[in-house]
Amino acid sequence: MTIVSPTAFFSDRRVLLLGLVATLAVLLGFVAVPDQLAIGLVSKFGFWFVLVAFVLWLRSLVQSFLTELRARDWRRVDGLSWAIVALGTTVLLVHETFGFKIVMDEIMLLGTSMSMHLDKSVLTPLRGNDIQGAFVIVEGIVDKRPLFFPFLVSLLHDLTGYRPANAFVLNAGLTFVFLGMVMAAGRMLAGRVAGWLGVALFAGLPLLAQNSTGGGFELLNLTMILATFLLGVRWLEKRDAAALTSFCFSGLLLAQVRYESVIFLLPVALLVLWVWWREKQALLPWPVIFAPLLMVHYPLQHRIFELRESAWEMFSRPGYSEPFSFSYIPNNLGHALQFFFGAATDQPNSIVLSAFGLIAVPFFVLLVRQRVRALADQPASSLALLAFSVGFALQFLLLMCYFWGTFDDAVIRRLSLPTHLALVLAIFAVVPQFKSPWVLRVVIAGTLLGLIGRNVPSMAAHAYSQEYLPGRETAWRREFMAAQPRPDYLMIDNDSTLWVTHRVSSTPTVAAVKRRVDIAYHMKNRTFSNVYVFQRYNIDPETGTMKLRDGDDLGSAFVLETVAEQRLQVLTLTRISRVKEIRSGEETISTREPVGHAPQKSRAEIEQGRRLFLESFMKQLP
Amino acid sequence: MTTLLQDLRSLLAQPAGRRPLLLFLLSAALALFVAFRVVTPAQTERLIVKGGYFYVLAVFAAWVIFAWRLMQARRGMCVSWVRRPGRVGLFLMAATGFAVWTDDFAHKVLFDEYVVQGTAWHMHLTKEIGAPLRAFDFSGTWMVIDTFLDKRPYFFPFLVSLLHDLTGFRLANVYVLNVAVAFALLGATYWLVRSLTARRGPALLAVALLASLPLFGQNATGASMELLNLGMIAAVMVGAVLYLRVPTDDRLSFLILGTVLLAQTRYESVLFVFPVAVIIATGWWRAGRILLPWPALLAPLMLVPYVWHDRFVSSRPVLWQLREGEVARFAWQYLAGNLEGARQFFFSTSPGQPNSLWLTIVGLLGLGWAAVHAVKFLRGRAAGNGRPSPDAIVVLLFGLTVAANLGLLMFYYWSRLDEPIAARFALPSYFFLAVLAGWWARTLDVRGWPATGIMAGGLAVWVLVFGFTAYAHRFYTSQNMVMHELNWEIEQAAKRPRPTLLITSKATLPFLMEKIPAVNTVLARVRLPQIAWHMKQGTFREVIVTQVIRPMSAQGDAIIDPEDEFPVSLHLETIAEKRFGGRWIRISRVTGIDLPPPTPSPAQ
Repeated sequence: MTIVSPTAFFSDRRVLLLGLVATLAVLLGFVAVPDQLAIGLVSKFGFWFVLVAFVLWLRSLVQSFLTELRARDWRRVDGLSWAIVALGTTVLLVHETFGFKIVMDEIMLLGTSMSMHLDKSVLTPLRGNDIQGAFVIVEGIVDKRPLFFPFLVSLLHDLTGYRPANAFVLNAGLTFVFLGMVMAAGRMLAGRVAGWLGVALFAGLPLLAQNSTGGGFELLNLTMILATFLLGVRWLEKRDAAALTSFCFSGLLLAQVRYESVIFLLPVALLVLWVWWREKQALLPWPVIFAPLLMVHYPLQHRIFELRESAWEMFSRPGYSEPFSFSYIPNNLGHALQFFFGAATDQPNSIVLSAFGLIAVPFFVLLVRQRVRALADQPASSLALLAFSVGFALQFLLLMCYFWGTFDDAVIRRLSLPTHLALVLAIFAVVPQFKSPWVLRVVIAGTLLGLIGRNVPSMAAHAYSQEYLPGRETAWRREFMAAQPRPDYLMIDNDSTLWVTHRVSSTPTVAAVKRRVDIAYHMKNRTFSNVYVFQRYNIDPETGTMKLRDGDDLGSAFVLETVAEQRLQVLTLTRISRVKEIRSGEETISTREPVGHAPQKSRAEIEQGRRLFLESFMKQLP
Repeated sequence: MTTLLQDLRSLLAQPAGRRPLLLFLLSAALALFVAFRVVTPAQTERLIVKGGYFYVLAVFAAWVIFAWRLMQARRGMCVSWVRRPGRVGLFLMAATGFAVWTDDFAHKVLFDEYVVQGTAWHMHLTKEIGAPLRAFDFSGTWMVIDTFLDKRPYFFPFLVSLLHDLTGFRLANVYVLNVAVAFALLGATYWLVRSLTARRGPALLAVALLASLPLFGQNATGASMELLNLGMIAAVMVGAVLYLRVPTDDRLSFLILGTVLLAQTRYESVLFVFPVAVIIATGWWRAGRILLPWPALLAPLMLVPYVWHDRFVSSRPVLWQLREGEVARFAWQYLAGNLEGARQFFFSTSPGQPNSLWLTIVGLLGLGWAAVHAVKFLRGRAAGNGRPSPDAIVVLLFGLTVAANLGLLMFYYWSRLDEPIAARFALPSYFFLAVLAGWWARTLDVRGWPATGIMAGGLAVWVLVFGFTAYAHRFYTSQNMVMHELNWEIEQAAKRPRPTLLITSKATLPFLMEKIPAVNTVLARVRLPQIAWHMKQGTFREVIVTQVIRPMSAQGDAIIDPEDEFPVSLHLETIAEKRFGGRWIRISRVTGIDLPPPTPSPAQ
């Protein structure tokens, strides 16, 4: 329908339907469903919501691109550019070790992907055991992290079988896709060589290498931001149903990668409205009309933050009372500068990218001012970049207002990746404004010099990751797992999800203390080949005395024998011990009883004994 | 029906048909006499052991020759399909790949599959039929010194042995065969439904319904004869359709030889002799003459080895594998439990069962439609209207036989389909449900309903919601604790210094196949002096024993399983122990055997 006035616009039946659907989605997401039920619904149906959105997105991509792909002359593909993308991917993947870098984020995501694969439910396992030959998740929780990344990992599990390394496979694949899109964006905004420059800038970013070889959702977040941007440009150019659907669903899925990425729905909405306004017509294909309903699980899942105070992780940084505040900005900005220009041994940064990016930002701001005055005359790529620059700015502002928005912190560094993308896009926008080709040549020369001279050595040494103890402990625990001849042992560890996701029976230390008698029962009955405990000691620099980290103490009832220990960081000792026995007072209650000889019993009586034992076994699982 | 019988009677009255018919009757009488009178069960054992291989080789060779002749008659079509299989070929390959992807290659029905493997191995080495019981390494040669004739028909082990002959012995050959059979079976399913409906869509739907069935994938990646049985049912159906379309000597020979091989694939598949007999008579009636090529004349005699084998098995109750308290293989007492098991299996939504609820639903609806269709047709036929198509006749007759087969199984002592070991008996039923679903979809399509699309959509939803969960867990395979136990025992035994003698209460075959000398616990108990002698002579570097430890109460109170107890004269030292579900396996090393002092001779 042609829109001649706002009245006509709002009387369009499709627009009305979209309004109704959106209202319904808001009611369902924010009002109608109580908190506990909301979490239950996310657990049961979250997977299906993401699946439907993903299928619709793929369908729209096929509809939008199929004709062009068929008509394309594949002999004219830019082989050199793709070779550069492949080379960039290789640089990012070969220097860092594949592993779970950020604990617990990456492990929780893996856990969710495990339950999605096994049961199509959203649940991060906390306790799991091998019961009758099959590893079964005994207890879990719905995690606060959005679902798109674990969903994709679960698809990989579905296709190739469950293995934790599938998270790394996905991220390695996404690295190539991301760099390919960087090249496409650079070529579109500033020409072919700028595309190569973008690839080189990112290939030299150690932070990206760290995440490309990790199990987190950062690469997917970057990829989806860039994909949404490129699809936004396509929507502005094509202005058809398929382009709109692919753009909207890309934004919808992007919002389900990282919490704050929901911000990018704003530029998506701006560009959709812009085209409607310019075309005087509200194009609304049916998947877009129903899209708000496919987001309902997002606010429902967000209720976790209301149900669990700990979800904000305020305890991680004592002294803060509010998760977000403008008062945090000055401090966070200082940390951001320390990150962007810190030493290679301390921060996985790229001085070249930071420098060129920060030089480009003021020019970019001027450019934005200039272009906003003549919006109607701007090409699609400029318009999309303007809209997305709003998204990038808001995202950066949000992080600067976050109590833990310190970019130089080992856990938080990765949140600066979208800002890095914004800096590269700013460079792409600014470079063509200089008439002299020497500007681009100097930038490329500087980038290559930085890549070879500073960033590759930084990646190879990855000294910046040494200070992050949980990451190193995770790697050490995975080495321990790999060294065990049999996975049928029980590990007591507060990070039990790590073991459960590797199909090793595990229970948190706090639960083990409470269920001491049950664990003794299982030791007595040879349920596990061994029972181990993972603990960390902090060492007093003055006295040299070792003190167990809070929550790691099993108490005196557990008699331990050290099997492996390592000083992974100064003044700490990480140890894995075997539980030799469990005591109740002076009495040992875990001693294996000798195997007796058969009394005169029938097979039926023996079978009955087995049944009774299995029932008791299940009830007392740690 | 009356007309058909009248026509047949007049055919038999023709002088041209009398002589071959007389010969056939003579052959049948001779077969009955030889099968039941001439030899005793003990003699049948020797005859099968010595001649069974050559008998099945001859039948198989003849079947292949007739298949070749049929293909030669339509060479152009066959060659073009092989050279350019097109989208259907790709779909069949993808469907086979999908089925194989849904489960792991492993022995799933442990005793059965190892016995079949052992028989194939023995056939490969000696061209005799038998499963090894004991084998040892003599001066570097692995020699079987004791075998037994198993109850299972031997066409499947014969094919595996052929693969060994052609490519060298390896356990994985059985998986190669089953994957190839899965592909052929899906191809035959496509052909049959395409032939019934003259459309591609419903045929592809039937293939997809079957390939997505977890039970199908489980058997395609297993080592059992179930898939060959299904493949032979489909092959005989194809032969029957071809014969009914144009009754010729070659087509009839192909059909008859296929039926004999089918009877040699699974015990109860001999039932298919009856629908084939009806189809042969229908073919005569359609052709207006009696066809009796030499395979037809010899058919009764070719079934004699089956009867011999059955008589041998009936004479050895130990081969029936009855459980405690059971005295007969077939009885009314099993019916209620088996029916309940079948209901729970076919309609389960749990990932614990390898069923497909969607195939059950659309297949049963198709079955209902086919039943109504058949009744209507018979009424119309009574009124003298029309002639059924060859495909419809074949599906009806074979469908009735599959139903009879399932009915028979409901009286069998070990046929609860919801038990992991017995679920495979549902394969023929599921095959038919898939064919009927495809057929029914086409009839609805004709009436303007997009039934094929709806059924395919429903299948996609089922695969997403239930199928993927079942494939991910594979409880129906992974919860086979004996499989885990056996794998661990083999792994532990293989780690010991060779040669190691293993004493086990499980079947010895899995160990013998891995060239680990093994004796049964029962036998070892009575041959302790001989074992002690060999320990003294250094024949084995070690003798190890596996024992099952069982809990006796909720608290544990573990005991050695009575079947695994040894006399106190055998001294054991535990070397490994592992829990498997609700019991443990202990592996111990024999440190000594106390023998009674030798009895003084009278001279002393």
